[in-house]
Amino acid sequence: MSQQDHEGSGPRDDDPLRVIVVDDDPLARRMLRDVLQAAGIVVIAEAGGGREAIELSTYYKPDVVVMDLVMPGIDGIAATRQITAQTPDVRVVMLTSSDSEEVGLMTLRAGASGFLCKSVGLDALPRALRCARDGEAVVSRQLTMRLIEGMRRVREDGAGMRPIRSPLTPREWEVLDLLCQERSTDEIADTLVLSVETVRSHIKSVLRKLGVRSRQEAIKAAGSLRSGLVLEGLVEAS
Amino acid sequence: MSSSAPAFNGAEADLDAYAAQAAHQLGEAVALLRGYLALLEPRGEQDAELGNVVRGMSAGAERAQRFVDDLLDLAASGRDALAVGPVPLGEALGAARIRLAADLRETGAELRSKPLPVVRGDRELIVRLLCHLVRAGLAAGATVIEVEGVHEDGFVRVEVRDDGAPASGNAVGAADPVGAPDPFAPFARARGRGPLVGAGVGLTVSRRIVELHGGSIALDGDDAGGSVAAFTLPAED
Repeated sequence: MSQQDHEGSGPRDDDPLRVIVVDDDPLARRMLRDVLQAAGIVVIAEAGGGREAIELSTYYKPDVVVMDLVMPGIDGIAATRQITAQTPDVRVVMLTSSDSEEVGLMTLRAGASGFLCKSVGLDALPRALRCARDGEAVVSRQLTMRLIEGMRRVREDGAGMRPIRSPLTPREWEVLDLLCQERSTDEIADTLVLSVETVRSHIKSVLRKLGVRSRQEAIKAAGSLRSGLVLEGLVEAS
Repeated sequence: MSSSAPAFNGAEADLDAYAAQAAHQLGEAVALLRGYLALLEPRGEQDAELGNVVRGMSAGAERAQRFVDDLLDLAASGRDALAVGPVPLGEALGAARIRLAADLRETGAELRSKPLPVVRGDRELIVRLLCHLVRAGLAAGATVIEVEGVHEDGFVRVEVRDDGAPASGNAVGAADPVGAPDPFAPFARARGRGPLVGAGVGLTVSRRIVELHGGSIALDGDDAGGSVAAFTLPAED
């Protein structure tokens, strides 16, 4: 099936899932390929390292990339970050022998849709990949709980929450968080240990990027961004 | 055509298993560290001091990743199987040059060769072999690394000569009268120091690759004060 067959239409039930398998161990790749192909999934390419995975994902634009964590050169987390930044429609599911929740959380922060420990059994993999393709998260219940705990720690005013992709720099988000707490320019400068001029410059940049004219409008826009009401392109275009 | 790796003895199998486990433990930690550093990078661009910290930690993480790469390579070399075909050594050296481009650029060392013969072997393994030997020269502080190859009784004898810190003379399997450590032993002390020194398994992997092809390898000091790694591979008919 050619790449063009998929363009302009969403996934259908009869569309075979197109997957790239990434693992530095050729035996592991072969085992994964056999399991996936037996389940009717098309393995369109295999990569033995992070760099190759990025190149193949950019070229083939698969539905899902099954990614190993520890590899020579570019590791799975770094490769995931690049793949999801360059091709946001491609879903990445990390499949690793690690059961570390810290690694799992970092994998998700890097842009992965899933984090699976190899101990879950390969039989579950085909279904998990189809779920990822359909926009579902593929994570363990324990990791889900960690995510919920993280959400509960967020302040009621949303300070500290950021959209995954945003034209604002982390420092500009810090300034915006403090604006949302109705802090003055001097107070922001004290809190962030910056000069007043630097804070003014950050605020100016925030207003420009959000396409607004006042601090109040910026606070409103921040709320919309956090709740996902504003599309990324709208802000970037401003 | 393909053939399996020769069975390693128990001690080497244990070593490979340990290398694989260590690579995954260390690799996981390095991946996590690099993940956090990537999150800090944008802030480092705005904060000079933080930027310096991030750069320093990233350099440390890269050195740790080099260890991971070496340990993965050692573990993989115990299960390598040959996919044999004609391999033009000049082309293989070109591929090695591309993989080592960053290290060559960083050190400013020159990698040069005369026209090289064609051998019969596994291209990927031969590229890895050349990478290890060239990198050993770079780690030893070489400014020039020269690769030569000549036909010799159905084999091609290849010499990788560098002007880095000298190697103490020895040949694989030869009795060593003064009891100097075998540089082909895993985790042997490297010839140099610095960021390009890996886990000390490059020569071990090199020996495995050469022996898998039915060849031999030796490392010795050369007359000019540098080192020469000489190995043989089957010549292509």
